Amino acid sequence: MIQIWEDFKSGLILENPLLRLMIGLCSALAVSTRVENALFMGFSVIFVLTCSNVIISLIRRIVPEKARIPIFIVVIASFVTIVDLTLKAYFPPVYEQLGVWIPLIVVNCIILGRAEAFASKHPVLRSMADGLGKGLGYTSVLFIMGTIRELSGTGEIVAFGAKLFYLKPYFEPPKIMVMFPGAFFTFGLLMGLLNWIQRREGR
Amino acid sequence: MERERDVKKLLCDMTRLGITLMIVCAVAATGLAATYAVTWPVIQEQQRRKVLEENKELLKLFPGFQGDLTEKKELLEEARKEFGDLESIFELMSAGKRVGVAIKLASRGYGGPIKIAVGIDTEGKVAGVLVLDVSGETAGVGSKVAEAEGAPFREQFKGKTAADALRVGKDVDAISGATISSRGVASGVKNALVVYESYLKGG
Repeated sequence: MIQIWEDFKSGLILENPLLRLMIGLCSALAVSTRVENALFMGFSVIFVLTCSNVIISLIRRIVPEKARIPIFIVVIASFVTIVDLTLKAYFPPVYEQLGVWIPLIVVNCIILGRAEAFASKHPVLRSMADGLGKGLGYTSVLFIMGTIRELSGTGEIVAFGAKLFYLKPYFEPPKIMVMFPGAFFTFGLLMGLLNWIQRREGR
Repeated sequence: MERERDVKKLLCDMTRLGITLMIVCAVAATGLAATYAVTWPVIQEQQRRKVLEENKELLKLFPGFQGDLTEKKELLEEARKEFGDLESIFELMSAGKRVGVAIKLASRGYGGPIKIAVGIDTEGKVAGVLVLDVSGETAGVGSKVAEAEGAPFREQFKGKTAADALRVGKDVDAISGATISSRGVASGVKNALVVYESYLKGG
């Protein structure tokens, strides 16, 4: 039980896929322009990562060593297609915004990475906890980046049809924050912040 | 002897690889087929609504029309080879029957392209003309073809067919001072009628 909790927890900070393992960055930098996009992308990744981890862990004993990569990819691609179709059917505005990044989850290194490094070697419950933890770690970083970028780049946060923050009267939002350089600024600052906190704790 | 055993082992391995991969793919395909079956009708409905929403103004061509707009993309490709200014072709269907077609195209105006939409009923007669974009025309003069003042001008086209010449000054009256813009609209309507006659009639 403790082991499972540890597997889950490690994904949040210590082995956070974005800030610590530094994988799956390209989609994270691209979709974190808005809070809403960040959340939908995050949930899609949690779903795909958890489901594929569970399935891969279940079949890990019958999968021949040589054919494991194609089999993992088939499993992952199936879940991604399920997410893709579901978003397209029930959340078309979000789907239009996320665009190609949903199908590209197939090649997101977090997912194949976890399948290869963890799920193919560990039992089902631990793999599920690992998937949930890493997915949640990914989503929370995406959410923080989305909040910072949307608020500073557009001066407001609009999510699920509601305006949550409105700071436009107080400053002229620098548009660069919702463009690519803004993603790098935000990501770099977050990484620096995490390093600083950890160094302080270690002392 | 040993070589024979190696070959046998290799064959056995390959079969196992193939069979495992096949089973995984079959299961994945079943799952995807199920998702597809559930989401496909919803996606279709979403797309139908989107087309209707984006082309709301076309419904004005057929007052009282209740039904669906379907885009005729292949026909458009075909007709574009002859009429490069075509933008889109829609079929208006009500209870499974064609009520008319709407053709969007650009035609030469005074200071740039004039975008118009022509509605043609099942008898090949113009049901209505909409002028959508006159940003290139002189404000207050050429732009009248799109404005309320130009309504009588646009009304003249009603009931015309591909057999009518639609020469400005002879068959249709121009808006005074805006001969070139009027001519642009008239030639656009004429082109739409010709497209209808050669590509859409009867189908």
